[in-house]
Amino acid sequence: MRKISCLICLGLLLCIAQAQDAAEPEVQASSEPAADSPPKKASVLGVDSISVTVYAADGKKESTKKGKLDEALLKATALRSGQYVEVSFTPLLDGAPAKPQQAMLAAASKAYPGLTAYAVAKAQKGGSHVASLGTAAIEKQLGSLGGELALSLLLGDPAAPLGVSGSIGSLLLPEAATGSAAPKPKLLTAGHQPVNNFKPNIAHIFRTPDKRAPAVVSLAFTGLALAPLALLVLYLGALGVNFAGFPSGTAGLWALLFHGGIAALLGLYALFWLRLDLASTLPAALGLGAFTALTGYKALSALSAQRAAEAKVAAVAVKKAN
Amino acid sequence: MQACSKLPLLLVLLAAALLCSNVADAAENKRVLALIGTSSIKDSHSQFFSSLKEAGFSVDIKSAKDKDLKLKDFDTFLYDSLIIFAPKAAKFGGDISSAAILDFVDSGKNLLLAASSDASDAVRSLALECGVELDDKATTVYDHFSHQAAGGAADPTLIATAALVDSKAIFGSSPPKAPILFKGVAATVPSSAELVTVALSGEASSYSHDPKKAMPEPPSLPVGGTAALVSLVQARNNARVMVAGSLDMFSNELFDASVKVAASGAKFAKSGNKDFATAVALWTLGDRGVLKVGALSHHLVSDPAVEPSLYRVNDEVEVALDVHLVEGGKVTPYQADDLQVSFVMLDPYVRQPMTNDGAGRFSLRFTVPDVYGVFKYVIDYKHAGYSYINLQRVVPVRPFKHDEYERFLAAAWPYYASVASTMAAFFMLGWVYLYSK
Repeated sequence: MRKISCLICLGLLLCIAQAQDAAEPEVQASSEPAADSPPKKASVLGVDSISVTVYAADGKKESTKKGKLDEALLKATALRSGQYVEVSFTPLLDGAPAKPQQAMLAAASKAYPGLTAYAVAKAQKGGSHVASLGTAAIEKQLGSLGGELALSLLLGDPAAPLGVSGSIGSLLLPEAATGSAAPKPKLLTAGHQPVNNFKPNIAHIFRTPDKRAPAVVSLAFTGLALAPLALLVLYLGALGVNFAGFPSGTAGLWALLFHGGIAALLGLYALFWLRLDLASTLPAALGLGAFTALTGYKALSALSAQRAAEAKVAAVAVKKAN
Repeated sequence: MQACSKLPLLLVLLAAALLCSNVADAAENKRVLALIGTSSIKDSHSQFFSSLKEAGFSVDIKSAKDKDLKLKDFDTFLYDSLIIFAPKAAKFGGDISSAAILDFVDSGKNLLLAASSDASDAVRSLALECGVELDDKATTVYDHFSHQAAGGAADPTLIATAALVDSKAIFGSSPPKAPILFKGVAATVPSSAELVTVALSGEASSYSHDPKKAMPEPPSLPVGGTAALVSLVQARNNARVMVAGSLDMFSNELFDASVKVAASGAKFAKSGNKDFATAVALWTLGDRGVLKVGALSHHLVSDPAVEPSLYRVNDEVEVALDVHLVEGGKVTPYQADDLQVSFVMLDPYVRQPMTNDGAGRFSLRFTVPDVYGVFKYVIDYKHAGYSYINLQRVVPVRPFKHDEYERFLAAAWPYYASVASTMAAFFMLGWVYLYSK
């Protein structure tokens, strides 16, 4: 047991030593080439002179300007619907014309930061690149957008560690026809996307009540309606109406009850109009009507009996006198 | 004989003990299944998984090709959320097919999907089904200005972007301050998409490109902000899906990396990846931004105790709703001023924002329109980062009864006068006719 363990330990030690020996020459060998070769120089992108041309909708050249990057070649140049701007330039990698992977125009809206329209430049024969951006292309990407857009050029390539960007100036688009409505770009971005689905508030407009005649007209006609009653009272007064024929005694009592019944019925009609419903009114009307009919019969028969008796007495008196 | 009688009891106790341990392990709504493409992801993305565990989630990490994968046990779902960190997987093992994953999401469960430039068709079509269209195969996001330059790096595909969505629901009050490092594929989200929020976009100088093919024209080309790097989808049933174009952005390497932005030279000791990834993942797993809504209640202003079965035209009514926000298990009243309620009969007659009393009660007082019919209260609330609120309650509205109209109008006085004068004249004439001599 002991012998085997000793052998194993020895074997392990040998292995470790061998590994160390193997490692050392490698380390020595790799350090030399690193020290000898110079660090690789980073490639630099650049751009030659830039030429900017504004075209009309039908393709006719309207104006051309030449200059360098970061010179404001377009000073808030207004673009009408259908017009477009063409930028031609020659990208350089370490001074020689090249075809960088990214050669784009970027038009960033000043009013809505985060909304940018892009145009990809196409390589032409001879090394120059041409990119065109117009109102149609901007509308296709950003919807109806008005105002000033800052135009810049973006160049980049994996061969160069840093890209090159510079300003070309600014474009002015006509204000959107819809006015203050926010632009609706075709694709969502983190900075420009709807937060909620808030819709315009709606408050119900109630129907205005019909116009009514002024109350004065009503009062005037009320007066006219009451006029016949007033005239009646005056006429009766003029006629010399009296209540001399009101019966005395029991007949008088019946008469009072009869007229009271009529007054109660008229009062019931008024109460029905103001407060009651038919279900409560009809039984009361029936009751009062029966009462009035009974007392009326009694009153009128007593009255006529009294009148008959008076007439008889008067006739006897006349006969006697004659 | 004694042993036989005790055995069933022992078995019952053992079963109970096992059950208890299972229940304690998996808290409500916090069971997560993570499918990884290669076994090294478990270690290279350990910080991400442990941040989920710290938030109380129980994460089951399994290989995407595992033959025993199961999302459902007959009708019971075994997990509440699914993480797919296997961008190259052409298909998934066990019972997990694309249809099963979509059924999972349709049932209200959440999904985190990480893609890459060489993502498989299965992953691409899954993202497309969820509303996020990844750019073509072999495209990568480049940025020659805003890329990682720390330690002399010059790889334009490892971009550094700080174009985050401004959302309190997802990031709380402290959004990530450092740029986020990203290496992968971009997506595009059309503006007609109502359910998708772009959480992370490229900077204005970034673009998505396949070096072997020609560059298309925008808007087909994902360029600048339109290159959606991380998109968040909330389905109509409030299930949440995150589609991230990069698996590397969740790795320990990028979590711990220091950032130096190439063009501006700005330096940051640590990238914003950990803060961003944790915030977005917790949102997707339902830990943040979830709204809990009570029942819609309504009553007449004159009688608050009773909920009437119908209204009359021109009634003064009040409608109220309780809304609370659940974040990390804590329930707080929801604060918002854009929660609208509509009173609709074919078209909305009334649509007003509800006033918030600060304690989670949203209410609105209004007058019922002077149109009768069958109306309904409709609340259709969508605010980016918060659950949707969709409520409807039918309330009929009746017209005036015959005795609810105006009486004793001034225009009627002449008629009242004529009736009264007739009655008075009749009474008077009774006396006059009988007793006058």
